[in-house]
Amino acid sequence: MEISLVALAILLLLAFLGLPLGFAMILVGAAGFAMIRGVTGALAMSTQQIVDLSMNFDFTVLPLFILMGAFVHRANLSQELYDAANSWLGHRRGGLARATVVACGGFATISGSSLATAATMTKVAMPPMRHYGYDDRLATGTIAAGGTLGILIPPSVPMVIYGILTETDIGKLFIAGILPGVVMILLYNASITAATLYRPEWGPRAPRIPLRERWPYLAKVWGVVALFVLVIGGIYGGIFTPTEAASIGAFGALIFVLWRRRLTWHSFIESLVEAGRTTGIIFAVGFGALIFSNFVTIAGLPRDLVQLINASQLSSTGVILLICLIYLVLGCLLDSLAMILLTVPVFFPIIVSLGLDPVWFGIIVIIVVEIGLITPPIGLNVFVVHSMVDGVTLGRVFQGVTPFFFASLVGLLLIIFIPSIALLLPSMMR
Amino acid sequence: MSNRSGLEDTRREFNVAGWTRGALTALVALVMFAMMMLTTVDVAGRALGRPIRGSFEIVTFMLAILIFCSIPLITWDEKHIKVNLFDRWIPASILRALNVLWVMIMTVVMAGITYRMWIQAKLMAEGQHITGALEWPIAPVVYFMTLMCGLTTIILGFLIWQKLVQRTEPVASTQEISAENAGVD
Repeated sequence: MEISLVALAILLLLAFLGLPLGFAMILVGAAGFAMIRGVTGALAMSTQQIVDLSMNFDFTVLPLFILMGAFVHRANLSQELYDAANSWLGHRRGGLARATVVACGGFATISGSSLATAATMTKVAMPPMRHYGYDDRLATGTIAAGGTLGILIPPSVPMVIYGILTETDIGKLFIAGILPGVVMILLYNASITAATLYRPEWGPRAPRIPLRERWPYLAKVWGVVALFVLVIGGIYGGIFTPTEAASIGAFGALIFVLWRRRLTWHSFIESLVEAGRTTGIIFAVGFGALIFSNFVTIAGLPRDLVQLINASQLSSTGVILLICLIYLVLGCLLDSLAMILLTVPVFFPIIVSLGLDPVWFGIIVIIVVEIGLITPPIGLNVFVVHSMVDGVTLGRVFQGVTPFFFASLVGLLLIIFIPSIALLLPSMMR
Repeated sequence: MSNRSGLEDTRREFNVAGWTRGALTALVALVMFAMMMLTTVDVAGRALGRPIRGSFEIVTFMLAILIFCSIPLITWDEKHIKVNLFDRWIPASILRALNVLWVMIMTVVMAGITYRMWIQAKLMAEGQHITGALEWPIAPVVYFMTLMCGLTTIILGFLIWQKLVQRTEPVASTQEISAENAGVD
């Protein structure tokens, strides 16, 4: 156990001092492995891991979902989503903010990225909220928090990565994210209610749109609905494997961008290259995570941790709460991918030994990662919104997300204590 | 791209760099597109009772090629995922020295991987490892991966030279949000 803890400390030090994470994990993982099994064994193990990870059919799901996201990003579907949500909710107190959350949820059904969701929604939701005199804290906080839905509601790139690392069914993970996503939308709405009850001037009402004029707005989002039904419905119904669904989703998104005349030759190539390069970036860290995880395993860290937990006589809920606490602290320091890759190999064996559901734990990990995206000092979603909005300080955006941070905590506790929120839908899958 | 002066200069001098970059980028785009089309056509074909034989093996090879074409590119642009948390508290001169040290370490790691990958490829060639359905040899793909790892090692060597001799400013920017990391999180 000592050797792996020392290795973990060295790894964190190297990473925090700026050595790219993937290389830091490969270096420390291989060096640690070499101390136990010799240099040749370490080199052989490392390369074997790299070759196996790169030539595994199941992992082709990752580039294809990223490609779908790249096309969807260019299809400019967010405006319709926002208009539709706004026509139904805008006239309420804080209505534009509510519409933003719902539109974020809608966009999340076709996007696997929180940052992309936040970035896209900033463009369409910020101008009207400014126009109606929304407080900039509420406006920016809503978008930053709403954006986190991108990775909870399927498809979700971090879920794919969790699935790859733990060999958990990616289809089930996706389906498990749906209800928690709905719960989060409701909770975020509740925090908007709370904020505007306390300060009504933060979120004035927009004019009411007559009922019969609302339907056309709703009809315009058919493209999003079609893609969602095709991809996630296909997985749910057992018609497609996640890889096939991703590929159909990418193709469908491509057709959609073409149909909307949003695609130039340049942006087409750009989407392909962007998806390919992002895949490379993720796999480079993935190699490191697997090599490091191999070392940690032969060094006996998971076994020792399990023994430690058994000796401590903590209940499994106690263990989960403890793990979540560690995640919340780490979430302040690390970005989402680093967090998943560094911690899941360590924590996952504990979950398995306690007999807990890997899908359920996956959803918990995604939610704590989401919270990490909006907590200072490193809250990437907050950075995205801040970088795209003029005249609002970073501190004010962080103030704005505070109510949503508490809402997310409530959501996290709900899922911990009522696992069926996550597990009901996957249990009904074919 | 404007701030990437160092290797762009090299491109003008040798043009090898520019050509390599262009070829890798084109290959990434091509393989990505082919992967999507092949899987989609296969699903459609299956619905019509005519799936493509062994398509999943071709797609698996494509995945390896996609990853290993993009690794030299992202290394070149220094786009590997980093934790930049403490950058702003580290003095610039130390940060620069650290960055050189990191690239040196990365070069060593990459050289080690290249060397061992080459052995792996040789072993696979000797063992005549083939895929299950199409019976395609696996070794050529691993040789290709070795080649790309070697190329990445060379690029890292260039980066050291660039940082030491040309003393280009470290690219580290704490809050850079690009389309690429938008895909990640």
